Amino acid sequence: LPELRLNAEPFALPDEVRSPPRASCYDNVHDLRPMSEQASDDGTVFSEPWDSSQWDGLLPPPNGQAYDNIMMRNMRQFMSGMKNYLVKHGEREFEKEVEKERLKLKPTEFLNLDAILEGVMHRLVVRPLRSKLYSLLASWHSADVRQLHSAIEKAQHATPLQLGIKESTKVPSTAVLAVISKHFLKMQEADSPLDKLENLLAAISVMFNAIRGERTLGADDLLPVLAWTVARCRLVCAELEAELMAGLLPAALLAGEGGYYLTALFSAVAVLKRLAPDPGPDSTTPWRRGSGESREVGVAVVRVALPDECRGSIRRVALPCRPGARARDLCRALAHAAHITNPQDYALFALHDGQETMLNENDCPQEVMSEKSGQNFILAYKRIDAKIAWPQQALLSYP
Amino acid sequence: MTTVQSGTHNFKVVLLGEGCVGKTSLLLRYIEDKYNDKHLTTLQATFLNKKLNINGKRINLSIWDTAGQEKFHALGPIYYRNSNGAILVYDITDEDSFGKVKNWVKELRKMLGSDIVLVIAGNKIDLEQDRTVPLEEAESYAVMVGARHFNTSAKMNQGVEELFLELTREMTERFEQNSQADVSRTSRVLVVEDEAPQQSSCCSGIRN
Repeated sequence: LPELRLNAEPFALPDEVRSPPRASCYDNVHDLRPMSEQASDDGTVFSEPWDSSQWDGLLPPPNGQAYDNIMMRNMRQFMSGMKNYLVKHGEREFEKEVEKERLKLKPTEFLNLDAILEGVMHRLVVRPLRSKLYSLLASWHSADVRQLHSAIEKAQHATPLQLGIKESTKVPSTAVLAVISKHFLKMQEADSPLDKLENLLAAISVMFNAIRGERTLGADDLLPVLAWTVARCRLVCAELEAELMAGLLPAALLAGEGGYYLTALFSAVAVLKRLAPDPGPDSTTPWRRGSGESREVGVAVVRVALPDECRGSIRRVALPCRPGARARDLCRALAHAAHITNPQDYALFALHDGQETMLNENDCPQEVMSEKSGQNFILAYKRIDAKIAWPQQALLSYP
Repeated sequence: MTTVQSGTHNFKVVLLGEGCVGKTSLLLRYIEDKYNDKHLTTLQATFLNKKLNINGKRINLSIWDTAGQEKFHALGPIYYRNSNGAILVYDITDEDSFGKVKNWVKELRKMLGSDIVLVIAGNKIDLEQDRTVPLEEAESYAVMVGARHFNTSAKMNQGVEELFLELTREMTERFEQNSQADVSRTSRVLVVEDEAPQQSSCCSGIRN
């Protein structure tokens, strides 16, 4: 059996959670082969029986609260890695099975191996982990769920107009809402993120069909009506489901239509949440900077320079940032965005007139930014030991 | 979000502008060559795909419409992230809508830098007599911020095709420059550029 590798460098958790039992989330990858060989008759990587306890290595440690995205990223990487492995190296019977199926095809048919394997991965990886993933998501987003819950209660008394629905736009009737609710329910029940997305799209399509009139509907209609629909269907878990889909679906899919309507669901949640602003500093939505509140873009979104050491180039990324977020939250998001597999070697730096100052993990980047606003100041995320000569030209060359 | 799959460039384009400037009409005109859609065949114009072929390159545009009302402005970032291009639409009879375009340009440049190709559309030129946004002002502003400016009328089908074509051409150019820059940086190979071939296009629209 060829060596199974997901990632050249094993991904390690930050120090604070690197508790003794496991040094890295990918420790299990090395366990995988012997384990499956012992547990099965045919010695294939995917042999049954597997139970969810054998996936524990993919899970973050129990005390790590903020690691649902790490867990989902690991799951996604594992599934993509497995798919590649199967297609490139095959497994004992894999190629034979494919050949067998190919013989059955009509001349006009083909096997979409990627789609088939994606479905298989969801069955083998997502389903066994489902309950763990949900409990993790629920604990991480408990404040969000509470907030959405009270917002949905308030929205029951709001008129369509108050939610931003134009007078000329219809809203779904009770009968239509019942149909949409069924799709939302199926979305929650489905194990596979792909099935979830399909049910979301079905719900939205029913909604569109019900509200269409003489004119074609644009995003101006979609967003408020979707918010209204989510409220009326009391879809309190909307954000959890959206996070789960966004975390587990393949990236190519998220760039297309599915990604668009998933974004619409996220925005509908954000629109609703404004009805019940949460007083807690930590549970505010990252994009909350609507009317009346602070208008500065910097509050919601932080721009960080990411030097690419291989290419000698600087990439700039913008990422949403909750007010009061700490440097370590930002680092986590940056490591994710930049596909950095050894985040313990990286830190956030403040660059000011050619000087680098490393931020502590409990520093609040936004506070630092507001202190230095107007100056030639920028945040950079780089390897701690990297020696970088920054360009003389102001990094902030845009308004 | 640029991905190249089997020789096809996939570009994400986000459509920004105030509520009543005609974003949806522009999109419909481009995709379906329709203005006032009374046929009821069209369910929605919130997300649309358009496939085109420019200089033999297959290109797929994913066009994301956004809600233009001021109260939804804050949702911008989750829509425009990973965009290759943005179309900023204003109504030439509505000065406020031009002000909104300026805000978007500022925000996009701040958030995405020069990675994103910007195109500004002064829409509703069929109402030229009611124009309140001076053409010179709009054009010089566009030059200043490095964006192309187009006069469009979704109603009369003016400037729409040109706008999307130019945007696509620039996004392709930007993409190729970037990948070339990457190659020359990593391998230290001098890349001699060929002369740019004449632009030609043939478009066929499909809807999702």
